[in-house]
Amino acid sequence: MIKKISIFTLTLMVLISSISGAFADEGKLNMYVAYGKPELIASEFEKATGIKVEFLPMSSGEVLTRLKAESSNPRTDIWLGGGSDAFIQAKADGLIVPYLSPNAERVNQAFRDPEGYWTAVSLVVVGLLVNTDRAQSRGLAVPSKWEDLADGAFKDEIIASNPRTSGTAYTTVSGILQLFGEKEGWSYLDRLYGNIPFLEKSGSTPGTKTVQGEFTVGLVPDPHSIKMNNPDAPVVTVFPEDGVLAWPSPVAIVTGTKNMEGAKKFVDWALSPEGQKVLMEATPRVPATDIEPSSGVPSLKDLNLVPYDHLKWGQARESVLEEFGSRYPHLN
Amino acid sequence: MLLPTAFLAFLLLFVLYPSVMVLMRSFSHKGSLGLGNMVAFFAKPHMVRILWQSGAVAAFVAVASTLMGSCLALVSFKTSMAFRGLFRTAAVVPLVIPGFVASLSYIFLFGRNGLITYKLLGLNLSIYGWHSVVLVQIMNLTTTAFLIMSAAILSIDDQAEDAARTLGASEWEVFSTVTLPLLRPGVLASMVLVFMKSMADFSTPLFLGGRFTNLAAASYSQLIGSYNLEMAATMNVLLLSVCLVAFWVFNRAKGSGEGFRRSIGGRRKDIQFPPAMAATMWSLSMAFSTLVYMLLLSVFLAAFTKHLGANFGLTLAHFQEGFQRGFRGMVNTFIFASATAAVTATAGMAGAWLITRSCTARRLLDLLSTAPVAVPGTFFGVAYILAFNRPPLLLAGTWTLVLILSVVRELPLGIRSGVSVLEQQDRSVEDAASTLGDSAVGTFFRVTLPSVRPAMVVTALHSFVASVQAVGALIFIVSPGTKLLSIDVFEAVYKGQIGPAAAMSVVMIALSLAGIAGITVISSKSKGGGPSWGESLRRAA
Repeated sequence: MIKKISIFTLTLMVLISSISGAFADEGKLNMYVAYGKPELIASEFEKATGIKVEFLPMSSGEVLTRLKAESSNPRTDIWLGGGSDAFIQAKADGLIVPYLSPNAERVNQAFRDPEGYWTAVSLVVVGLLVNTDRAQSRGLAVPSKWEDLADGAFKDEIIASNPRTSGTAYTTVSGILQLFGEKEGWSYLDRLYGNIPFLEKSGSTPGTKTVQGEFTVGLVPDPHSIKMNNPDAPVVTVFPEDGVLAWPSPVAIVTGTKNMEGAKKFVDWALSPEGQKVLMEATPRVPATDIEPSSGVPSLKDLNLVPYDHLKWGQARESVLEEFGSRYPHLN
Repeated sequence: MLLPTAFLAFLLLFVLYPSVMVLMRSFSHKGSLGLGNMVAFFAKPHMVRILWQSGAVAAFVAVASTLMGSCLALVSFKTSMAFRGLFRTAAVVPLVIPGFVASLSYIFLFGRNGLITYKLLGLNLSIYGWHSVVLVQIMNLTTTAFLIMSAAILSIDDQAEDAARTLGASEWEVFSTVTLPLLRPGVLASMVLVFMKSMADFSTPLFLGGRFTNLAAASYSQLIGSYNLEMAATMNVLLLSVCLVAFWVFNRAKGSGEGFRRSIGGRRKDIQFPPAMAATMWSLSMAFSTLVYMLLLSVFLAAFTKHLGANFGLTLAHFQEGFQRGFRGMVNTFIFASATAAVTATAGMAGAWLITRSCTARRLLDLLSTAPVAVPGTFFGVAYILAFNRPPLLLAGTWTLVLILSVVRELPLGIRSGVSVLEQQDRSVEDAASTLGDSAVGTFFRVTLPSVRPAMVVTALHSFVASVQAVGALIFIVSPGTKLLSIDVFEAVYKGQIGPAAAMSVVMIALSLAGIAGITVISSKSKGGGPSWGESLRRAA
C-alpha cells in the first residue's frame, strides 16, 4: 500500500511539474505593490524605460508575509508602497537589499534608510476624517487640533485602529508621545482612548466606517485620499494644527531579484521628477521630494509636521505597546 | 485500488504536506525549536478567552444555520407554501454577495447610522460585537446548510414515506420517523461543515466584531498586522485541533445511525406539516429572505448611487472606475471558476464514493479532504507558498497550483454533500452493475455519478461562485501580472473606494449568476439526454 502511494505521489509530481511553467523572465520586472493605480505606474515606467512591469496588488502586511514565506525562492524584484514599519522589519529579516539611488538625495534623510535599504517615494499623513452630517446631528464642532478630540462630547464618536496591527495607529500613539512628551502624552491618550469604543484591526476600516457615518471622527491614513475616492460622501479632512504625524511609504529591491539592473532603474525612476509626478497621479499623497503636489493634496510646507523619530519609536515598539495594553485592557 | 490510492496521494500532497509545513513553523520560537509559541499563547488569558469564544460562536452558528437551512430546504422542496420559490433563491443569494460587501451593506442597514435602525426607527444601537458576527455568519452559512440539506432531501425516495402513510402513520409521524432519519447524515454533515467554516471566518469578526475577535481573525492580525508568522501558525494549529475534535464527534454521532436505504427512483411528494410548525417554518423563511433581499438591494444601491446613505443620485461612475483595468480579469475569472467547478464536482463525487464504498483508509481520506475548511483562506495561501515554492515541487505562480488550491478548498462541500446522498442509497444498483461485469470505474461513471446528480450540481455551483470571489488564499500564490476580478475588488476595498467595490461586486454577482445558469442548463440537459437508470444498467452489462 505505502509503496503504491509513494509511486503515485511521484508520478503526480512529475505530471504536474511537466505541465506548468516557471515564472517568465526575459528582462521583465515583477512588483508587489501596495500603491494605488499600479497599472498607471507600470505603463508609464515602460514608456520611460522600455521595461515591462508585472504587478500584484497586496497590502503591506501581505507583501511581508509572502516575501518571508517564499524567501527560499524569491518571486519578485520590487516592493513598492506600504508602511515603513514593514520595510524596517523586512530589512531585519534580510528580505530586501540596499541600493543608494543617485536620486535618493532628493529625499529628506528622515524618510529613508541610512544604508539605502528603502527610500520613501511619498509620505502617508495621519489625519482626521470628519463626517459632517453626523457631527451636525450630534451638535459637534469639526475638531481642528488633537486636544479637541479629548473632549467628553466625542465619547464613542471616534474610531481608530489597533496600534498592534496598524501602522497608522502605532504612529499616532508614539507620535503623540513625541509631541507632548511621555508623561503628558499618556495622560492625553487616556482621555483620547476614553472616547474610542473599540479598535479596528485594520488601518483602512476607520476611514470606511466614518464615510458610512458610523462615527463622527476617524483617525486615518491620508484622509484627503479617502475624500477623493468618495467625492460625494459628507466628509472633510483635518490635519491637526498642533502637530501632524507622517511616515514614509518606501520602495525597495527584494533580496534574490533576478533583474537587479531593471530594479535599480525602477527605483531611480520612482524618485526622479517624472516618476514622482506619475506616482502623485496614481495616489494623491504628500510627495517625498520637492515636486508640486496636485490639487487636493496638502503640501509638506503647509503641514505642521512633527519631527518624528522613526528609529527611536521603532525600537521602543514593544514597550510602548505593552504600556498601551496595560492602560487600555478593554480595547484588546 | 487505483482510484483510492491516487486520491490519497493527491490529498497527502496537497493537504497534509502544506499543513506539515505550517506545523513546523509553529514549533519554531525565537530561533529555537520547541513548544514556545504554544506556551506563549496559553500564558495570555485573553488568548485563551478567544479560543473558547470562537468555539462557542461556531457551535451556536452551526446549530442555527443548520436549522435555518433545513427549514428553507424543507419549505422549498417538501411543501407547496406560498413564496417558496422566493425562499429558495434567497437561500443561495448570500453565496453570491462577496463577504466584505455583505458586511458593508449590513452596516448600511443596521449600523449606528443605519437606514433601518437609525434613520427609520431612531435607535442608537451599538452593533459591533459578537451578536452581529453571529447574525451575519448565520446568514452566510445558512447557504452551505441549505445546499447540503437540499441535496439530501432531493434524493429521498417518497416510496418510504408512502409506505408509512399506507401503514396508517400521520403526516407528522411520516416526517419524524421516516424523513428525518433519512436526513440525519445531511444534518450532521451540515453542522460539522458550518462549524468549521465559522471557525475559519476572519473577515466578519474583523469588520463587525468590535471588541470581539475569534481565533481566525486573531491569527490574521498576527500575520498581516504584527508580521508574526510563527504565532499565526500556532493559532492555526489550535484552530485545526478544535476542528479535528468536532470532526471526531461528528464521526461518532454518524456511526451510530443506521438510516433507511434508498431504492431506485427519487420522486418527491409534499409532507403536510402540523399548522403551527408550518407557520413557524414559513415565518422563519420569510424573515431570512427579507433580510437577504434587503442586503442584496443595498449592494445594488451602493453600486448605482453616488454615495450610499448620503447622496442617492444615480450614477454609472463607479462602473467606469471599476472597468479601468479592462475585461481581462473577468474573462480569466470565468475560465478559472468553470475549471474549478468541473474538477471539484467530479473529484468531490469520486471522493464521496470512495469514502462510503471502499474500506481501506476511508477515515484518513475523509479527514484529509475535510480539513481544508477549517483553515482561514489567508493561511492556506501561506501554507501553499511554503510548500510549493521550493524543489521538488516548484508550482508557485502556475495556474495548476491556483486550480489545485481552489479545488482543495471546495472539495469538502463536494464530499460532504456526496457522502450524505450516497449514505442514504442502497448499493444494490452498483452491485448489480459490477455483477454484470462492469469495471469499478465504469460503474462509478455510469451508475454512481448519475445518482448523485443533485449533490454534484450543488458542488459545481458552490465552487464556481466561491472561485469567482476567492482572493484571500490566491494572493499568495498567483504571479504578478495575474488578472482576476477578485484582485481588482480587493484593490478597491484596500483603497476605501466603496462605490467601485460595490460596482465590481455587482459584476461578480452577474458572473456568478451566469455560471449558475450555465451549470443548471448543462445538468438539466444531461438529465434529458443522458442514460436512464435502466439504460445505464444495460450499458454496464
